[in-house]
Amino acid sequence: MKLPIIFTAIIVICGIILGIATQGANASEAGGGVNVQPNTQIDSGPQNIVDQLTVELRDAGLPIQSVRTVSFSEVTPPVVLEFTFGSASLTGDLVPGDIININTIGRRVNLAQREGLNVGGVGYQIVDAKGTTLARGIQALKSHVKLPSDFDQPSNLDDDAVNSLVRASTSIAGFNIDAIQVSRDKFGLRGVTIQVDTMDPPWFMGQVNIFVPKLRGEIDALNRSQGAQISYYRLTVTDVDGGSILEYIYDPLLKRESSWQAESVGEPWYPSPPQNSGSQ
Amino acid sequence: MKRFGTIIALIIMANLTLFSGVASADPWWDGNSKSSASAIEAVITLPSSELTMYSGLVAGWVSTGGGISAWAQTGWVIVYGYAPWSYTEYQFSGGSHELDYKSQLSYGDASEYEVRYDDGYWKTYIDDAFQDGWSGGGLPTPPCQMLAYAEVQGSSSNELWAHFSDVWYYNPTYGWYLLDQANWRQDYPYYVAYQYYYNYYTLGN
Repeated sequence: MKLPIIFTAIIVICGIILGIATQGANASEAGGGVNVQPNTQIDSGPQNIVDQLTVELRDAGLPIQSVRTVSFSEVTPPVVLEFTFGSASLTGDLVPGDIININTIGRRVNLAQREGLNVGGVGYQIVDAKGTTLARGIQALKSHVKLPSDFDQPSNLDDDAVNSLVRASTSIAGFNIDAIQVSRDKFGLRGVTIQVDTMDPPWFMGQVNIFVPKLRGEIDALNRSQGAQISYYRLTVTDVDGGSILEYIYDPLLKRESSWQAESVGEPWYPSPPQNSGSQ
Repeated sequence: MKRFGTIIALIIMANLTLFSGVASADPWWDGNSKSSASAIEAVITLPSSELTMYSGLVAGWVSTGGGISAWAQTGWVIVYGYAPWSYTEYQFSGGSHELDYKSQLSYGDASEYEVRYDDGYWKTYIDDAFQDGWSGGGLPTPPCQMLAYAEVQGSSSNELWAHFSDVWYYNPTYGWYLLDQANWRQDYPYYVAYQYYYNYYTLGN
C-alpha cells in the first residue's frame, strides 16, 4: 500500500510550490512593486498589459496600493479591474486629487482596450491613511472608444499653436491664466492643462456655472474648426493663496467630466437634484 | 407648439395645476417623487423636436434625493448648443462629482432610466443595461426619497418638454409599485400636467 506515501509526497510538493509563490507575492509587495492579484479563473487579457498600465499610473504619481480583477456579472466580459488607492483625506470626504485619480484610472483602462485588455469594467476603492474605505465605484467600459470625427484628419497645429489658441479662448476678464501646458500621451493624444488664479473668488463662484460650459464650448470649437485635437483638458482654479476652488476635467474622447469644487462654489452647471427636495 | 393636442387633452382629462407668481431661482425643477424607496425607474421621452433654449440646459432624470449633498442620477440632458445625450452622474459629499455622457440621442427618443440600490451600491441602468455603481461617499442609505424630475438651468425662458411614463419605485419589503404619491414639485414658470402620479408631462414656455 504505497498510495498514502504518494499522496503525502504530492501534498508536500504542492505545499512547497505554494510557499514559493506566496513568498514571491510578498516580496513584490514589500518591494513596492505592482501588487496585481490575478484571478486565474478570469481571462482579462495579457497580464503584462495590467502590469504595464499599473506601472504607468504609479509613475504618474497615483498612490495605487493594489490592483485586482473582480468577477462582476453585469458587465461584458464579466470582469472588473479594480484599483485601490490612497487618499490624503483627513475628514472622510474626498480631496481634489482623488477625483483626478478616478478620472485618470478610468481613461487609462478604457484606452487599454486598444492594447488588448479584455475587461468589462473599471472599479476603484479609495482608502484614507487609516485604511478606512471612503468610497467605491464601478463603471462599465465604453466598448469602442473611438476618436471623434473632428480627429479624422491629422492636426496641422503644433503644441505651441494649440497653447496660443487655448490661451486666447480662455482669456476671460477676472482670471489670471498662470500656465497652459499642452502634452501628448503614449497614444499620441493631446491633452491640455490650464492653471488659473482668481483674484476674486466670490465673483468666480457666482460665474462658475457659466464659465465651465463656456470653456467646454470653446475647446469643442477649437477641435471642430481648428483641428486642435484636444482629447482631454484639465482646469485648476485656485485663490491667490493657492487654495483649491475648482478642479475640472473634460474628456471629449470618453465624453466624461469629473470635478471637485469647494463647498462655497455657486450653482452647478450639471443636472442635479434640489438640496430642498420637498414638494411645493 | 409641440404636441399641442396632447397637452390640451391632458388639461381636460387631468388635474392641471397652474399657479401664478414670480419665477423661482435658477435652477427650476418639475416632477414627482416617492418619499421612501430603494429604487426608481421611469421611461423619459425627449421632445419631438428641438426646444427653444437661451442658455444652460434642460434635463429629465431619476435620482436619489433627500436634500443631501451626495446623490446618484441618470437621464437625458440637452446642453445649450448640443444634441441630447443620455448620461449617468453622481456627487459625493465634499464636492466630488462626475458626469458621464453615454449615448447621443435623437429628438423623440424614449428610454428607461433607473437608479437602484443593490449589493451595497447605488447602480444606474439605461434600458436595463448596467452603467455605473457607487458606494460610500456620503450617498444616502436606502430607503430614501427618490425623484423623477425635469430640470431647467440658465434661463426661465428655456422651453421645457419631457414626458415621464411608467414611473416605478421599489419597496425593499414588498417589491415594485407604480408611483403612488402626489409629491409634485412645480417651480414657476414650469408646471406638471398629469394623467396619473406615474404618468406626467413637465412643461413650460
